[in-house]
Amino acid sequence: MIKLGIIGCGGMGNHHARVFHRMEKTEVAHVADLVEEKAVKLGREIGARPTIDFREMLSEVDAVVICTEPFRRTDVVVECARAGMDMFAEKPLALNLREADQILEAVEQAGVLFMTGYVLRYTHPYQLLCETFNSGELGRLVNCWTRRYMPCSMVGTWYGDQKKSGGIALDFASHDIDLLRWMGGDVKTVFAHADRVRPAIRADEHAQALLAFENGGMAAIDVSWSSWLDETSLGVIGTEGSVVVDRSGTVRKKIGDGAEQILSTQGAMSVNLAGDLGRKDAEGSIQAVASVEETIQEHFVRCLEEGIEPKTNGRDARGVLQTVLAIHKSARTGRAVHLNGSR
Amino acid sequence: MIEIGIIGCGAMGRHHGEAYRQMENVRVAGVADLVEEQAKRLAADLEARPYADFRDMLPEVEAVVVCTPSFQRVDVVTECARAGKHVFSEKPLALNLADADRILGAVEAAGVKFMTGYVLRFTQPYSTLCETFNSGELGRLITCWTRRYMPCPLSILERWYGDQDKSGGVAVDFASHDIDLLRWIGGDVRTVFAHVARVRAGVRADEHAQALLTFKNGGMGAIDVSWSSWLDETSLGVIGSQGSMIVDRSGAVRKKIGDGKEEIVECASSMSVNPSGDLGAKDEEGHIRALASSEETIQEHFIRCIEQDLEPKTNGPDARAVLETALAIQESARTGKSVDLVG
Repeated sequence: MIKLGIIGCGGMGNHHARVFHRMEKTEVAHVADLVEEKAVKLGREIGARPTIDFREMLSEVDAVVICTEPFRRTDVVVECARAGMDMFAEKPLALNLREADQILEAVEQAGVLFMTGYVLRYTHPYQLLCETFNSGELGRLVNCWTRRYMPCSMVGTWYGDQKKSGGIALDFASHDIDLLRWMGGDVKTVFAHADRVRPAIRADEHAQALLAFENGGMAAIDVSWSSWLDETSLGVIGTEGSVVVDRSGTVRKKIGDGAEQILSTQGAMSVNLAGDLGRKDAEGSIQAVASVEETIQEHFVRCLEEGIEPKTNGRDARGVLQTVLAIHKSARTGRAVHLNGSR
Repeated sequence: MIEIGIIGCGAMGRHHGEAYRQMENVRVAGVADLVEEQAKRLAADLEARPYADFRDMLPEVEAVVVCTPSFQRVDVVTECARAGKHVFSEKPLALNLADADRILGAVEAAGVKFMTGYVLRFTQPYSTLCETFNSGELGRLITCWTRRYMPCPLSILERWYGDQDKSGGVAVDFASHDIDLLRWIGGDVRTVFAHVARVRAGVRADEHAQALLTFKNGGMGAIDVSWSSWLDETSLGVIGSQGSMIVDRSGAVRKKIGDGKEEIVECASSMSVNPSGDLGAKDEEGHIRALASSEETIQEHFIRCIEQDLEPKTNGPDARAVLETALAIQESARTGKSVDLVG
């Protein structure tokens, strides 16, 4: 039985806590939050000990799951690393490269496991599309793209404050960038636009970007919080074939002049703030859809058990952050931004 | 009865010819093609006179429909204008701005009607989406976008189509439709940033293009088009400050105004008109729920403009601006820099 501690009992903390609680191999022994009431409430629900100081739990657990807001995460991660804790940390890695590098250095020095919450790599049908491309079956990359619109009100939340969330590019499009980097590799150039839309919100709510990859090929991203309508689509075009995923979750594939095939019609095509991905039911609520293979939580557990490098690791998360910062810069300057070689 | 002549008896010439043949107040008097056999074949099908030289046909007609390949159009159009004929010209207007200006100068000097083949403005559901935005119902423009993948067999691209000098490649030939639609929504384009890709061996033209636009009146746009995508795809969307509409591959039109319910907009007939001259489907309360263009086809519009002395919906100046934007896509892709349109 692996003992886990949850640090940060907000939306994502509750989400992960419940999933780990249901799994046979894990026990959520402790939950921590600066706001005692949040820790107590979650603790009561899953039978975990609440605390307002995460340090108290470190000697009692095998690993921690860090779900604080990004502007309150770096110190927690660094301290947990120094205490020798294996870690799962929610995305993004950090709000700036200085803190990102602090985290990566601490993790490397401590020799602990470090995994990030880029959950779309574990979510059907995104995973199916990317892995089909990565198998080589579609040939060389020509283009890949995402369009994800998640209309929501950010008024009064830390999401709606660019200094705390990094705005839509960092908080939301970082998922898209991670997926596209999974296929295309390191990003070479970025050109982007961003827009702040609703008056009460002090964060970018819409962003569009065109990327070029070091290994060739291009990508397009279009994300929004202020779109009124939701939308989800993803595609990859290779020199030999293509796969496109639409809002209904249908996965279409075509290789050369062969017949078009439908790979799957079960999808997780809407997303809400808590990170639930799934179909909307009749009331408009999202039912979480189990991924086809290993969930992100199962993957974390397996990495702990087998001592393997996680699929979503710190180095990739740094590459994502670099790309996001380039989106911010490009949107600000109106010019394309070239990324320096990644670490 | 309006007598018209078709110049260029390839696919588009035949397409237009057959449409005009269905109309009661129009007669296709003649069809002309450099290749006599092509002219004879279409002439037989349309019960028109074939011509090897279009000049011989001009005295017999009041208006011409010019459907030659793009690189063989400038002289034909200018000569027809000088002969006092109304001209419908397939798109693009020309392959470069100098030729475009020659055409516009000729039609203006001759005082004839000049209309271009930007047919998506006459096609549901694109026209419903654009006209709904233009009604003001969706508020100020935040973003608008198209994604259109039309996988094109190599057999077609082996001809003039797949030669950038003759067709303009995917940006000038294909994305020009998208640019025209987005300009219809957003107005004049201010900046263009783009990537293009040449993909298949033997094709000497850009086959894939992605562009991010900004508009002079505010707002942004995104275009993604491909001839080499294997899968087809069509989607179009507009997000305003008050509401959005999205059209997907099935042709379904989703619409949402503010926090109201999402609705599916009907684009078929059932047309009603209100005192403002708005056309649309009436909802249960009797309000015009969506602005839909009349059922007028592009051919009907051309004839109506001649009969009623109206400025065509798809005119020369718009087509020139479209060409300028498409050429900016090519320039941006070449230089890696954003291009400011002079206008």
